[in-house]
Amino acid sequence: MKRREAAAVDLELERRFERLYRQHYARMVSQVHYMVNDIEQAQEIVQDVFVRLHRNLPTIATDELVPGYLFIACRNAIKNEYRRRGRIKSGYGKTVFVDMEKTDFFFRNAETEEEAFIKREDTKAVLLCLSQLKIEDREIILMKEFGGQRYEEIAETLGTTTTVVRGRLHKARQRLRKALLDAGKEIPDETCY
Amino acid sequence: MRHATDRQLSALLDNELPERKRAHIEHHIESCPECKERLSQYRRMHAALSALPVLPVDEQFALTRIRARVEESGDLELLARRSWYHPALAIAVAALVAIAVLFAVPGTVTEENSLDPKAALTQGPLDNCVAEQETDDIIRGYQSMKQLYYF
Repeated sequence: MKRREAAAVDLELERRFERLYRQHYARMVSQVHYMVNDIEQAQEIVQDVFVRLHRNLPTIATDELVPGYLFIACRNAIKNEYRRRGRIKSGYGKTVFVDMEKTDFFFRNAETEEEAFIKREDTKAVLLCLSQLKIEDREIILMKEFGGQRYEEIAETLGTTTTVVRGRLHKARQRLRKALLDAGKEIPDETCY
Repeated sequence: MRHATDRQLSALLDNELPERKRAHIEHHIESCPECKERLSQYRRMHAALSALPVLPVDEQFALTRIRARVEESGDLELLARRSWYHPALAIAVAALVAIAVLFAVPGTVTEENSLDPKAALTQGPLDNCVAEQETDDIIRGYQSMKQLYYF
């Protein structure tokens, strides 16, 4: 009887894991890709994080906590990866320039998936300038713009206040705007989208 | 009115300004080409970033890989639990070895001498290695311990 109950619990846990995986995997891979500029590495990082999520899932009370867990786990993994590679000596903030070869590969790949809009040079320019920002700036911009999160949600995930989020976001946007202007790139026209 | 700050424009973009302040800034922007241009740049940037696509990934393949790794890590945990290096097992083995060593040394403890520590220490090959003085010291130590712990 007990064995049957345990099997039912395991099955329920597996179903929950799969549901969460379908819900978050692709979006997390994209978000990490936009942070590290490497699609293969992004997939490795996110898969590692999902292995850990599987182990820790019984301790995560509600599904609403999962996006925050995934984000923090990915962020730590990126930090560790950068430290391991020696790209940053301390902290988490040095600029990493985009690997255009890999980005081109990504665009070519997207073309085959008929993601026509991503081919646009202006989106490419924003991505390129984004990749030249500090990773903390990229992180907060992507949480807000790509993740569509509200200040409160970002603050909760990062364990800080909305005032700090507002300040960080504004600084990051300022730097991105400056990077675009310095690169002489036309800031993409919103009517294109 | 002074120009709107980047912070205010950023908050305006996110609809995070209080109603009164928002109206005030919007009113200023209407009549200020410089602030209008900056807000327009932020809007375009926002539009470009929020249009970034979710990349096409092979979810099924990745799920299979994740499941294989979960299974692998589960097997490793099981192996660790069964391992010879498991602490409880290691302690038990150490205790057994200690007992075996104790009984393997000739002339230490036998049925006849087990109640007489001097006999236990002076019989057998130990006679040759332990000096008389040292033996007495050991016995004195043993007796004081005996008094201390009443055994």
